[in-house]
Amino acid sequence: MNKIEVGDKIRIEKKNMVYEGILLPTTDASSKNMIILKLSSGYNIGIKKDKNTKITLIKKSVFKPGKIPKMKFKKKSELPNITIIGTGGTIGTHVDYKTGGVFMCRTPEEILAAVPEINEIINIKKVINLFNVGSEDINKKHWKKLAEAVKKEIEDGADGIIITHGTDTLAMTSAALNFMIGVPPIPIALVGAQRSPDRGSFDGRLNLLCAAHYCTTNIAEVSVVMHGSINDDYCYAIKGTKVRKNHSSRRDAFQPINTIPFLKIWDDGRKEFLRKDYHKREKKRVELKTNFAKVGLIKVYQNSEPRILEWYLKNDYKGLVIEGTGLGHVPGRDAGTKYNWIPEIEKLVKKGVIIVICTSTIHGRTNNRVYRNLRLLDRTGVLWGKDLHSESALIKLSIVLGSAKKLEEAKKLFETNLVGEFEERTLIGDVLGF
Amino acid sequence: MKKELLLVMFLVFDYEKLKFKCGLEIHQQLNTNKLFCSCKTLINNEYDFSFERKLMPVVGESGRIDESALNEFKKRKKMKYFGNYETSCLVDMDSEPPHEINHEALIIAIQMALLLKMKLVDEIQVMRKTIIDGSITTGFQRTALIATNGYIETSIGRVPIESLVLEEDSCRKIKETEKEIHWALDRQGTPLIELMTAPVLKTPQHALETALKLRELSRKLKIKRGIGTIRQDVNVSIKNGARIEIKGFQNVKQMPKVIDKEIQRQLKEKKLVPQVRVVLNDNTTKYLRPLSSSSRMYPETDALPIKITKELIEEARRILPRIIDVKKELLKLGLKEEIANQIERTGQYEKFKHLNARIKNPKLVSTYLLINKKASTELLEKVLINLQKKKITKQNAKQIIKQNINLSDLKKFIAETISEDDIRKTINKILESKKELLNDERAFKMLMGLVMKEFKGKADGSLVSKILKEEIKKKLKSVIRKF
Ligand SMILES: [Zn+2]
Repeated sequence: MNKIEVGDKIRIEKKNMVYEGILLPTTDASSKNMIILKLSSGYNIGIKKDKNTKITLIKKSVFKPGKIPKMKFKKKSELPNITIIGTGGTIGTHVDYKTGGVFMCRTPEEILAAVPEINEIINIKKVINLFNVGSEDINKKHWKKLAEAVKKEIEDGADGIIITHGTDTLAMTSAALNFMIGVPPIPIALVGAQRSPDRGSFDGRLNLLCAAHYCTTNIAEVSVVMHGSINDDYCYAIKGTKVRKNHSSRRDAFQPINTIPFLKIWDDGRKEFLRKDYHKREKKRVELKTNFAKVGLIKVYQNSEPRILEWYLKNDYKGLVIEGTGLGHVPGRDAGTKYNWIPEIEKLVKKGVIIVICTSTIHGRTNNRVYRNLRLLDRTGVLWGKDLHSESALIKLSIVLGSAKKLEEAKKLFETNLVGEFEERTLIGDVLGF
Repeated sequence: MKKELLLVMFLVFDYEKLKFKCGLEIHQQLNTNKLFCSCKTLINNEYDFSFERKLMPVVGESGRIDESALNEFKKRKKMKYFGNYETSCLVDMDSEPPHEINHEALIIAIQMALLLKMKLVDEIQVMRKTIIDGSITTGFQRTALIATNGYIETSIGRVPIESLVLEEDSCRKIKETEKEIHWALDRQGTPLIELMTAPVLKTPQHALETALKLRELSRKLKIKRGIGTIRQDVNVSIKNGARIEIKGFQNVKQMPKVIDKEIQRQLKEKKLVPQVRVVLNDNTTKYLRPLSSSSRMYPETDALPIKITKELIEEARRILPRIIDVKKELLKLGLKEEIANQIERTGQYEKFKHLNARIKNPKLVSTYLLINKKASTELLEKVLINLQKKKITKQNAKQIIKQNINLSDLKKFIAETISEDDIRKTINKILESKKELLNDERAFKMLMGLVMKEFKGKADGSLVSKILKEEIKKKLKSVIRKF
């Protein structure tokens, strides 16, 4: 008697019911002892197995789990040579229609199978399946690996690079990549998807097509290329250090922070250049900075106690970003001794911890003088995030502390505009806010 | 006897000889919020926002979107969606994962399964049925098999109900031009129960009977009523024919005629291909589209499987008996079956119960209750109380309820009505002056006419008649005594 396995056609008899169908793998979402069966109607159902349940084999292996489709590319030498690097995320999930299983593992070829038109825009030079990690699990090791792969591809003559990534931390990776490689000599686009590629409403399609179009331009910048509206009509290419995921599920979740996007791109290739001050393509060497120092991010709020800072000091943090309120306030003397952050911050600064003040409002820049408490805070020796939002400031602080030999050098580096992350002027634009 | 005669008249065909094969597929909207979010399910033609989407063909098992599908996609019309805040949220816009399945809808589906004596699955697996015509923003319909193997009793035996599915409805198409399709989001996500009978219906009349029985049964539950809330499709084939799906019945009563005309068409047609046809006004059908091969279904990974627990079934049952007993309760009160059915069908049992508690006259309450469904309980109560006190005439009462007048206007009718004492006085006055009439055998009729003329419609006819009879009797008795 053959053993019953997933994919076999079976009969389940229970009480006076008979079910026939194909045995599917059980997922951890199901209850205990549940047999998942695909009926001929296409529906899956769960039948609980108990001591009176009789299961018999009708036919062995009616189907093998489906293969994940892959795109076969045509070489098109007249088009720009673009390298595609896969790192994981929703854009890289796949549902096997036969078994109904969901795989987190898709190579970029498989992702591109959902967007065959991309081959009409770019020539795919190379596809690198760098790693396959959910957005929330990406860390500095992955960043280093990514920067090294990007450098190698640039040196190998790529005209542009598209990186697929989970959306949750995509903006952090884009900032990290930008600070690690500096201003790149070619366009580099990071893209993700809020809806998976198995569905007709896959939003990654537009993002990938627009990223391909972005890579054909002269904009040598690290950009996030994602939906610009709730419609599937255009994307924005936004500076990698000045972009943030501001919604948990909308396709237009990525917003520019204190910047104007470089480019508005439609999937048919139409482009609207929104600014002229981007770096142009040029031949140059890429120097990597891939050392990340230990840094932390804190938010102040009413009744928050500054004693938490002692913990960071004790645990050897080299830098801290503090999200202050409004222009960058932290609770001061009038909040009461227990809640006065200013002396505690001063203590840390004196001990050599770099403290950067950003704003919890996300949008807008900090100010170090218009109120008394701001002036008092400034006198402690903190640095100001200015128009850099806290997550980007955090990554920049980590990299400058990791690459500078001395504290003063790190401070100086932080205050330097490395890749265009500081903008002197904050502009009003129609792309701010929802 | 009569019924059978009618049946013979309709039986143009020998359905058995024709190898008539017929089954029903019924989609009934539930009267709850949406299935996977908390939006209301109302039809609302005022829109707060709109957006556009491009739904792409999904990569096939073969691994490629084939060229023709891609070309088709590039030529496709623009899909524009219109929504309002009351009925559409980010879930409906495919911009937020589905919420937990609507508990109320799930309970109703289980109740329907219980009513049809179906076998519930142990664990519901929500599926995605691929739909890329733009009618659903996600590109798929969320659908779940709840139960199988039930039946409904009909005059010619049990009809098996093969499956009960709980699923979400799609958008309403509001406009189609050469370049664009406009969809209204309000309907998308409305919970639907889909019932499939086995293809064993014996005749077109039997199909109708089954459809009506299923409708009657579902009306015991919290379902939507009115145009567009139920879709009854028929699958029909005959010997040497092909499977034809007929959609779009405006009125379920059309069913037998439409099926017969379809049989006629199938008998005439040389080459028959499986197809979907739509019902026209003259009971004929028109080709709509080829019969789609079973659409691709795969699990909705954003929704957890739902175990059908004992508690869930108990909860469904707990609410169920109250609904089922309505008719029994009404019959117990001595109402005719037809009246009980009407009260139940129009969903006025609660109103009836409330009124009867005050009036304590089931027949009276039901008569006036069924005049106008829209009449308020307060109005009905006041009218019935006044009616019992004879302060209002039957005619006026009916008129008031029919027109559903304002409570404040009710006084006018009451004031104008003549009291019992006044009626008696007036009758006696007339009897005094028309003594000679008492000897005539048509006395009552003639006197009644005279009296009513005097009251000019302001007195209750039955009351007048009662008093008149009493007074005539008295008068006659006194006459007899005199002699
Ligand atoms: Zn909703």
